[in-house]
Amino acid sequence: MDDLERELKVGFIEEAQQLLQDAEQCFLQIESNPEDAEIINQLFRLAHNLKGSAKAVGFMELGAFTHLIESLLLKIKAGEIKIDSAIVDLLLACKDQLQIMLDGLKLNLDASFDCSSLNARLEVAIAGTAQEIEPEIAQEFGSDAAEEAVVSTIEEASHERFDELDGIPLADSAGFSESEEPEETEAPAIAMEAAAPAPAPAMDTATPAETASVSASKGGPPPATDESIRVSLGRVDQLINYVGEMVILQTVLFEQAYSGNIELIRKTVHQLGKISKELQDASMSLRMVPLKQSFQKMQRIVRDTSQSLNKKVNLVLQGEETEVEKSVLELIGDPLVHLVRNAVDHGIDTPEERLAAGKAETGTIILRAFHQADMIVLEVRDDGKGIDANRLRAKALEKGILRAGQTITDKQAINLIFHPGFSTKQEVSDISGRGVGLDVVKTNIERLQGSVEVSTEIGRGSVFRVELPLTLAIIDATTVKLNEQRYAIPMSHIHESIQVKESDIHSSVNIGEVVNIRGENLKVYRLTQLLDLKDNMAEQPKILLVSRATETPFGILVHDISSMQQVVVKKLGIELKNLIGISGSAILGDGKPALILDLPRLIEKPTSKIVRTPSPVQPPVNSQVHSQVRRTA
Amino acid sequence: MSQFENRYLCFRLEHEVYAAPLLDVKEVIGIPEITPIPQVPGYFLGIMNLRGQVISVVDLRLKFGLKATRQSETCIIIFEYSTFSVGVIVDEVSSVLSLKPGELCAPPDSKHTKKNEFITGVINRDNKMILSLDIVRALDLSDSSVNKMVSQRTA
Repeated sequence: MDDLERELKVGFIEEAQQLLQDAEQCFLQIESNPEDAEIINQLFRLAHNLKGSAKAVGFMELGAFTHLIESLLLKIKAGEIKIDSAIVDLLLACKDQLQIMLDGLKLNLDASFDCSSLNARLEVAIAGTAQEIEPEIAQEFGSDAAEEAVVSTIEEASHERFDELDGIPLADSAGFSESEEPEETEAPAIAMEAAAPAPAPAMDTATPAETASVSASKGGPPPATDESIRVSLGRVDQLINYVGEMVILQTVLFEQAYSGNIELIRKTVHQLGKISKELQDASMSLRMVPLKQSFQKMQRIVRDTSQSLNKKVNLVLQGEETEVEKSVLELIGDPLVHLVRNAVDHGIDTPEERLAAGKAETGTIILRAFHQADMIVLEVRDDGKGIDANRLRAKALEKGILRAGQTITDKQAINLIFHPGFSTKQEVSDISGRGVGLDVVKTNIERLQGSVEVSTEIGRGSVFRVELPLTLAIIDATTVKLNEQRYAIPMSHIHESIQVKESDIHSSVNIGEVVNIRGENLKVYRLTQLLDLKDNMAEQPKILLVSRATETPFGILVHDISSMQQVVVKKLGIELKNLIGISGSAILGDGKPALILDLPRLIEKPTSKIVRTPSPVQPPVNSQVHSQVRRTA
Repeated sequence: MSQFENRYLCFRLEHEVYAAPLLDVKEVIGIPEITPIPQVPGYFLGIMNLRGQVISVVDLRLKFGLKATRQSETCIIIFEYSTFSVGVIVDEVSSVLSLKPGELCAPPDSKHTKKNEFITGVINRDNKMILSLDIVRALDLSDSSVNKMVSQRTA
C-alpha cells in the first residue's frame, strides 16, 4: 500500500466516523417522526456518501455492506417499508456494525469483517418482512459475528465456509417471507430483485489474494493514525490574526531595542504580553469541542436502557453547545454514560410506581451542561424516586461498611453510593447493580481533577452534579521549594495549608507521624522523604498542606510555599512514564522545568525506609547535579 | 538510500571516541539548567526545557562509569527517535564521519557480549578506534527496562 492510498483510507475513516454520528441522530429522530421525509432523505444521502467513499478508497466490504443499508433506505424512502421500532433497531445495529468495522480498520487498514448475520437481517428487511427474522438464523450467524467482528486474518477454509453460509439466509428468508406473510405477495419477487444488485455480501469480496496480503501485513504494527479535530475557520483566522500582530510587535520591539527608549520598549512589551494572552486563549480554543456528540449518544443509551427495563423515559438535553477540551471530552464519556444509565435504572421509577405516586407515566432525565467559573458543570437530573438514606444505612450495616452503633449524617449515608462494592439493587442486572459503577465514576472524575456530588429528595428525584476543569492542559498549582528545586502541586489536591511547629507533630513507630488539626488526626508525610531527598536539618519544615483528594485526608509537610500560579502541563517522555506520583512537568517563570506532583499517588508509593539522618549532609565531592536525586539509603 | 544514512556524529567520552547515526541527532546544545527527578538511577540527571519541550537528560559518562567533569566543550546531544527524545551529555562533539562501504566492522566477540550489545560496530580511522553506539540500548531506555529500573528503585 503506498502512502497516498494509506492517506486516503485514513482520511476516509475520519470522515466516516462523522457520517456515522450524523446517521445515528437521524435513526433516533425517525423513530419519533416516522413521517419526516427530510430525515430519510438525509439518511439516504449519508449512506450513499459512505458507500461511494468506501468503494473509492478500496474498502469493498464496507461498501457492499453500506450498499445493503442504502437499498433498505431506498425502500423506506419509497414508502414500501414502514418505519417501526424493529426497523430502527436494525438500522442502529447496522450503525454499530459499521462502527466496529471502522474501529477495526483504524487498527488495521486491511482488516476483514464478518457481517453475514446483519446482511441476512438486512436482506430479510429489504425483502419486505420487516419483522423479526427466524431466531435460529440470528443465533447461528450472530453468535460468532459479535466476537469475531474484527477478523484480521481469515484462513481459506473458513473463508469458503462463510461463502456457503451466506447463501442460506437468502434462501431461508425468501421462503420465510412467503409462508409468514401471505398478504405480501410480491415479497419473493422483491427478494430476488434485491438480491440481484447486492450479490456481494461482505465475505465474498475478500478474494484469496487479498487474504494473503492480510496475513502478510498482520505482523506489522498498526498504522499510527494521528487524531484530528474539526475547527471552525473563524477560529483559525483569529489565531492567524493574533500571530500577525505578534510578528508586527516583535519587529517594533526589535527597532526600539536599538533606539534605546526604555519607555517605548516597556509599552511594547506590555502589548506583547496582551497578545500572548490572546494567543494562549485562541490556541486553547482550537482544542475545545462542543459536548454535543457525547450528549447525543445519550439518546441512544436512554432508549436502549429504558426499553430493556420497561420504563418510559424522556431525555432532555440542555447546553449541548457548551465547549470542553477534547481530552476532557474523551475521558468523561464513560462516567457520563454510567450516570445516565444509573439514572434510568435506579433513579426513574416504573410506569406503575409513577402513576401510583401521582406523577406522569413517562419519567424525565435532564442532562445539562454549563460553565461556572473555570469549571464545566454537568448535571444528570431525574424525577424518579430519589435516594433513601435510611435504606443505604441499613445496606451499609449489612455489608459491614458501617459498624453497628456508628452514626452518620444523611449526606454521608447518601455518599455511600460512591463506596466501592456498594449496590442497593437486589438482583444483578445487565444495566447496573453489580456494585461496580458509581465508585468507578467517582475515581475517573477525580482523576480528571474534578468532583461529583449528589443531592436527592425522596419521591422527587436526584441530581448528580459533576464538576470538571475546562482543560487539563493548564492547571492552578502551588509551587514549593525543596533543596533549591521547585515542585508544582495541583491546587485541586490541596484543601488548605496550615503553619505547624515541629512540636505539633507526634510520632509513633506504628503509625508514623500524625498531626492533630482541629480534632482530626491526619497522617503526615514529609515531602523530602516522599521524593527520596535528604532532610535539610538547618531548616525545619513548617507548612502542612492538607489534602482531601482521597477518602482519608492526609498532610504533606513542606518547607515553604513559593507561589501560586497557573502552569502549562507538559507530559514527560515515555522513558519516564513509570515514575510514581509524578504526573508531568511545568516550565516555570525561570524557564526551568519543575515536576508536577500527584500527591495521592505519591503517598501510595512504596517508600524505602529512610532513617532521618541527624548529621548534616556532606556536600558531594564532585558537585554534580545528579547528586540531589541520589537516595540516602 | 539517502546520502546521510552512512553519516555518523562522533563524540568523545573522556578519552574514548564514539559515534551515533547522524539522522537521529536533532541538535547539539550547551548544558542548560537541569531539574533532577526522583526514583531514577544516578546517570539520569533529570529534565530540561528545550524551547517548550521537556526532555530527559542522561549522562553517558556516568552510565559507562567514566568521570563526569564539566568543561567548556561539554555539551548535550539531543537525539530524536520516533517515540521520544533524549538529551545525552558528552565531553565533546568532534566531527561528522562519512563512512565508506565496509568501514563499519562488527565488534570483536567477547565473553561479555551481552553487556556490550549496544556497541553496534567498530570504525578504524587514522589509527584510532571509534565505537558505533546504539543510544537507546546503551541507556536502557526501552520501555520495559525503565519499568524495571523504577521497580528496582522502589523495591
